[in-house]
Amino acid sequence: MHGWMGKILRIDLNKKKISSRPLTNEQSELFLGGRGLGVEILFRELPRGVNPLSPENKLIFAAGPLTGTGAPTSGRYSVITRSPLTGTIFDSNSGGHFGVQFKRTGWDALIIEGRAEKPSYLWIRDNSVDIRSADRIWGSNTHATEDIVRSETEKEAKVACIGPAGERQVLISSIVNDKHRAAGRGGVGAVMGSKNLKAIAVLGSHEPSIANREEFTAAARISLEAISKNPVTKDALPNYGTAVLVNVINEIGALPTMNFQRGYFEDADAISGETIRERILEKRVACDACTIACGRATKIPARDRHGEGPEYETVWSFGAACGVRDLEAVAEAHYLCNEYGLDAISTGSTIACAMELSEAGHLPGGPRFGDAEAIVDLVRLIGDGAGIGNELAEGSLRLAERHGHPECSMSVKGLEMPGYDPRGIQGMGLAYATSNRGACHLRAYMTSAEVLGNPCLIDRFKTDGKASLTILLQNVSAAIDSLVLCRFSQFAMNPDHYARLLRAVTNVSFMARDLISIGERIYNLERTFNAREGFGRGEDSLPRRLLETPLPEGHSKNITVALDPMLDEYYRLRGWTSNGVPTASTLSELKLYDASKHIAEKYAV
Amino acid sequence: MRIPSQSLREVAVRLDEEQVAGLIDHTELKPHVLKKKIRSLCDEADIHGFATVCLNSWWVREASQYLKSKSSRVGIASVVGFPLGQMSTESKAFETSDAIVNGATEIDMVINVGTLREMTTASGDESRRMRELVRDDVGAVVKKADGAPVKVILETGYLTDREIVEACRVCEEAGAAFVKTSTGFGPMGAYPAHLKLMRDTVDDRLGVKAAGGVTNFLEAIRCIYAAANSPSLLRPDKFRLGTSNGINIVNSLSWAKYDDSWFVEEVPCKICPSNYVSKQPLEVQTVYVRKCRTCPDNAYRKFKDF
Repeated sequence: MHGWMGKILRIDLNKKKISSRPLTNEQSELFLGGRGLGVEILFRELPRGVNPLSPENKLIFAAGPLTGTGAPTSGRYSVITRSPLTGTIFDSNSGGHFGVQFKRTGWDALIIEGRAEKPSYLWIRDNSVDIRSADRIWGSNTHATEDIVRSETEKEAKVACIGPAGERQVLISSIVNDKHRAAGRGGVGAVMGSKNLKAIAVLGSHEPSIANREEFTAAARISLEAISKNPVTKDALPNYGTAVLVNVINEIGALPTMNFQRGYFEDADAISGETIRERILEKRVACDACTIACGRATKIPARDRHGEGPEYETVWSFGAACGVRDLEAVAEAHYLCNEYGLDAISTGSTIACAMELSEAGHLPGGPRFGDAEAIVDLVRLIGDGAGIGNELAEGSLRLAERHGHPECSMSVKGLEMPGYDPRGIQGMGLAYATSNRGACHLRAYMTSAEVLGNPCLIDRFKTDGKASLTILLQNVSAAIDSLVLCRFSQFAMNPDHYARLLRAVTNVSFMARDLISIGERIYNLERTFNAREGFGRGEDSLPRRLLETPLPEGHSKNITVALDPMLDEYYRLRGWTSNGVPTASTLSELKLYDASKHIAEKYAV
Repeated sequence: MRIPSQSLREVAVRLDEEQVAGLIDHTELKPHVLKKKIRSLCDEADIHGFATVCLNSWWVREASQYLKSKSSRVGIASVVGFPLGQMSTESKAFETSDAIVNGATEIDMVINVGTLREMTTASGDESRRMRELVRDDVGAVVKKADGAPVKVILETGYLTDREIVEACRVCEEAGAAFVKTSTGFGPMGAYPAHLKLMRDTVDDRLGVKAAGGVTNFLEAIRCIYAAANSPSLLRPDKFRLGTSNGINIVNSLSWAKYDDSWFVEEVPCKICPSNYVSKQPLEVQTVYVRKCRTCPDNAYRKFKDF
């Protein structure tokens, strides 16, 4: 087997039982790896109705066939589980160096089951797997955890861990690796915490086999050339990081401000990528096998702090969404999220929700928009589980519901929306609504075409054709997440580039259309998992504000999201019912026979 | 100008990456460019099968030697009188000879825009005299090109429709092989409306080159629709794309294969030169704005953000 390592590791924390089994050809060729492989395992192994924070839930770490091969942007891994925040199937992926080192241990995936009796961490060195006590590190933040685990294992080991937030099963907690990179969304950190698992340390010596080295070199060169020629990947991201988008999105009036009450933030430039570069940047940082290097090592001299970030989503969520223009405070909030192990999008957005509730008189004594120190204090309270932090720790939807105003939560399926107001980017509205994991910009990054002109510029206000393009991008994205490559590669690379790399590595005759079909298969299986848990059209929606209330100013004013017509077309093109559930025949065509059988049985009854 | 989505699909379905690459002049005309960049431009053109590399005349010898050392079939287009076109005819002629001696296989010259405009605004003998000056300016370059195709850059952003038509006719009379929209340094790049006008004006033995602001496959396909919408015109001697984004265009073209929905009909104003008049001379701008006011699609302008 070239590309894949050919085996899957399973650890039952209840019984402290470690086992392995081969990766089947069906798994590798129909689902690739990463997200796809995790979804396949979870659908097959997780019964309906499992509480995400119970020992019965599974937490899967997975690399892909391109991980560790040196293919451009291939330093990533995926975490797949059932989310405690959304109740949906969920995958979250992360860069840095952990993913490559995990693959080098010789495993394609790690399935974690049960719950350790006491706080533990895993030390995986090639075939050797050790479950160790985490007594010494329980309670530590992610930075200290990584340092201690490495001191107890190997200096070269790579560590993915949870912070205090994950330990306390905060629903918006993340898993952090390499101190500054996170599988951030959906509360995957809480699932790890629910298993009493503090960290996973990996160190491996197995290089993935590449079937055709000469062809791989040629394919990688062409892909790197594409990256070096695309304006986004050659200039914008390297020079200004992801926050280069702040001014761009603000100019089109789609930078969600004051919890999506506005789409234009007057002080956007104060928190932009340009200002980050000018004021706090120390150097650029790259993940494994990446030439884009969008990461920012930064400093806040006034607070005597160093870290990485903030990223676009953080400067948006703690900045514009909260009406805060203080870059140092935003950066501090971002550092704290990494240290506590919190999802910066959901944390910032939940604080913004609290601010709106407070200003509307629904949350007496709560924070107010524009209060820079409040965002820093609230992150600490959430991370420490103190005061109002305990309410915010459950995410914006539960917070807003508790105070009687769910409409103040800017979320889909309970997952907080990222920093693109779909009233100004209609395709993003459909992408958010139909995302299988809740509001996510990365399932189908329609902003790329609708705003940035990649691969070409399409009208951001029109709805024509958006269903079809959303589906294409969702399918391609699912395939990329299963390779596992960074989604920024997609600005420059096309499906043929990915297929050529995969063919060279695996010696399996994948063509671009095969990759798109694999993505479609993964998307449908995720959707069937969610349908099994009761999700349908009702959940494929957007916050009422986006459907009914136009933005008051800026270059996207007087428009709402025309979701229903796009959604009808989307379901039709997907081959799903009008309730958003895949039909048995659609699933059979995608070779998802078990899923097809399940759907046929359920709806026959 | 409206371009129905079905028409774009029909163009796209006829294209493949290799064919489009063969229509591209891979361009690098910035003043601060270094030798390393020229060589990598040549490498890229060779790998992707672009028609030519398009360079300032200073770099022709370097590119020629380098491409020869690779036994490459990529041609070299040298710009002449670039980017303003306001050099003497003699200096353009000399620059052409020099470029040809150094290995240029094609010449992209800039027309004398000011004289051209005087030609269309003057009358009688004065107009005829100006016409001769413009024709001789182009003719001198054609002569010194010694059989190499000469593309004449009209810089359409400075011209009214009438002036574009007249410019095309003069170029045809002077023996040019192509008429070309823009330098990339002028007030606007290649717009389908200009390209169609040029294509409709010149004889089929002449080619049309779109240059300036073409960055992705959709823009490229719009240009092809406007200026090369038949198999007999979709050839390197009848149509070219001048761009520094050739690799992006070819790479992005792959996406077109996997979904038709990229080709939704564009708001007409977005691809209309009358919407981008801010850098034009006032008297030209006035003509464009007047045209806009009488356009059947004028209603779109009321919604500024389209």
